[in-house]
Amino acid sequence: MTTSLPAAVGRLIDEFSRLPGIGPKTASRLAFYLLRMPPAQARALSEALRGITEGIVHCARCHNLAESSPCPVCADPGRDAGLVCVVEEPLDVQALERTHEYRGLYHVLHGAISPVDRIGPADLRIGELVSRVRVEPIRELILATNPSLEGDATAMYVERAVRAVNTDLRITRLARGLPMGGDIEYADEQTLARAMKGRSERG
Amino acid sequence: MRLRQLSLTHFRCYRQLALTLPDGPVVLAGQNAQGKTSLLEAVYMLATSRAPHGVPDRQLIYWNAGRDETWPFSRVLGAVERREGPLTIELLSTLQEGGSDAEGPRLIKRIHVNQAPRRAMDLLGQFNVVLFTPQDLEIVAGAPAERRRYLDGLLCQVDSTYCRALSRYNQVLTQRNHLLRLIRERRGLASELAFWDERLIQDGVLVLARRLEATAQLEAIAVDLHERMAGGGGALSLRYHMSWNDPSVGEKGGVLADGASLGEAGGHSRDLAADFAAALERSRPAQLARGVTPVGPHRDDLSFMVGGVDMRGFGSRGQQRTVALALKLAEARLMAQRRGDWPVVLLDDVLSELDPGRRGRLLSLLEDVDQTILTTADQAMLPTDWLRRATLLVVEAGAVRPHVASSS
Ligand SMILES: [Zn+2]
Repeated sequence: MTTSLPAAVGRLIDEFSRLPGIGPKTASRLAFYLLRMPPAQARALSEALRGITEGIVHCARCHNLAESSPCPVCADPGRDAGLVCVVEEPLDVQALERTHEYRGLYHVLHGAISPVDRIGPADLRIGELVSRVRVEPIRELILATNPSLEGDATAMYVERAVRAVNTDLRITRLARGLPMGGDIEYADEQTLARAMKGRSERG
Repeated sequence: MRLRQLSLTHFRCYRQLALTLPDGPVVLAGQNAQGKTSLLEAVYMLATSRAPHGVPDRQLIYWNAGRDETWPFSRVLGAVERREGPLTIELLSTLQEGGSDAEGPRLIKRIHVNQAPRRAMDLLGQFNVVLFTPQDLEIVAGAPAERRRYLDGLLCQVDSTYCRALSRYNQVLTQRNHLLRLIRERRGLASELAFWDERLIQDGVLVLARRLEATAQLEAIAVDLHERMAGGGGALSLRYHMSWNDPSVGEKGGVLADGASLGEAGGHSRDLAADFAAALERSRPAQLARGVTPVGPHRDDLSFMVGGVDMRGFGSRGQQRTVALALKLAEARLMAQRRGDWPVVLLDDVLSELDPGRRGRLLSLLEDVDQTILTTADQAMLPTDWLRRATLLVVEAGAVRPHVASSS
C-alpha cells in the first residue's frame, strides 16, 4: 500500500510509527495531516525537530537538558551547591523551578528502574550521581522520584548506592501528602498515615 | 441497600432503558439472549466498574452504536438507597482508538459518584452486590485461581486497603518476574531483587492476613448455610492453603505443617513475613531458572471439606453446587456484617440448576436481603407464594415491560 506513495511520505509514516503509543494507522493519519498543513507550519515543525538534535546537550554536571554545559542552574553562583535534588526527568526540574522555592542544584536520572521496560540501574545516571557525591561538597540529597512503585525502587537503589560511598550525607525524601482536591474519605490508609506524619505547624 | 433506578444508554443490547425498581424481589423473565443477563451485568458494574469475569469489556457498548452514532459510548446510571444515605453512580465508557493499532480501540471509563469524578478504586465499596451465576460451581470444581478470585472479589468490595495492597502486589510481582528474566539473561543483578522482595512481602502479608481472617469468618457463616442447603451429609469446613506449605514448591517442603489452624495463623503477620521471606529464599534457584515467583498469595488455594472429603476433587456435582451456593450466601452475609448493610443479590439463571427443594431453600435463605434481582427463562419454576411478593418484568429484545397476568 505504501509503495504507491512518494518515498518521503512513506518514510514519515515509518518514523511516526516508531514513537511510543503510535501504531501504523495513527502514523498515516498524522502524516496526511501534516501534508495538508500550511507549508509555513510544517516548516516550523521540521525546524523544531532539527532544533532538538542540533541545539541540545546534557549538562555534564546535573545531566539536565540544556543549550550549553554547564546548564544555567549549575553555572549560577547564587545556587546552594550543598543541596542536590534527584529527579527522574528534565520536566521534573522545570516543575520544581516553577515553585521558586528551591535554591539548590539538581541531578536528572533520565528515568526510573522498571524491569518490565527493561530499565535497570545501569541505564540511569546513578553512577554519575555517586561520582558527584564523592567530589562535590554536598550536605543533603533530596530524593524527588515519583511516588510510584518504580520511583520508590529507584529512590531505594540510589540511597543504597550513595550510602556505600558516604555514610554521613543527609538523605531526605519529598514529603507526600493528600493531593489537592482529594477527599480524606477516599484517601487510602498509607497516604493518610503519611499525610499525618508529615503534618505542619499552623501559623 | 437497594437499587432504585437503573438507566442504560447504548449498553450491550440496550439502546435506551429507564427502569424504576419497586420494593421486594424483582424477577426478570424472558427467553434467552433477550438482555436479562445484561441487566444484571449493568448492576454489577455499578458496584465494581468492571464487567463480571469472562465478559470482554469491549462488548459493553451497544452493538449498533458504531454505525448510527457519531462516537461509540455507553452509559450506566444507578440510584441507590443505603443506610449511609443515597448514592448515584454513573459509568461512562467510550471507545477510543488506541495508540497501538494491534490492540484495537481502547475502552475509556469515567466514573462519577454523586456527580463527582472518582477513580475505579474509590467506587469499590460504595454500592455492594453479590452475583450468583451457574459458573459459581467453578469456585469449588475449578482451578485455584477461581477460589482466589472469589476471596478477592469479596474483600475488594468491603476493604479498600486490601484492594490497593492486592493491586500493588500484582504490580510488584510483574516487575519482579521481569527482573528474574533480566538476571537470567545477565542484564540485571540479583542484588536488585532486594527492593521488590521487600515490597512483595509487605503487600503479600497484608493480602494473606486479610484472606486468612476472611476465610475464618466465611467458615463461621457458611457452616450453617451449607447445612440448611444440603440438609445433612456432613459439616462444611474451609481451609486456606499457603503456597509455601505446598510440598511441590521449592526443594524441601514446608516449614509449617499444612493446615495450621486459621485462628493461629491469622494474627501473626510477623511470622507470615518471615515465612514468605524464607520461602522466597528457598525457591530462588527455581525462580532464576524459570523467571517466575512460585510462592506467595498469588499461588495460594482454598479447600472445602464436607464430612472429611475434599470437595474440590472428590465431591459430586450436586455436592459441589451446594458448597458453591453456601459460599455465595456466606459472601453476602459477610458483606452485610462488614458494611452494616445488605448487598444487593443478583441471581443469574441459577435456579434452573437446582431441584425444587433447593430452589425454595435458597430463596428462603435470601429472605433477609434488602433486594434480590433474579433472571429466569421459566417463571413457573419459582414457588408461587414467593412469586406473589415479587415484581415480574418481561425482558424481550432489549426492552423491559411489566408482566401482564393472563386471565386466570
Ligand atoms: Zn546542570
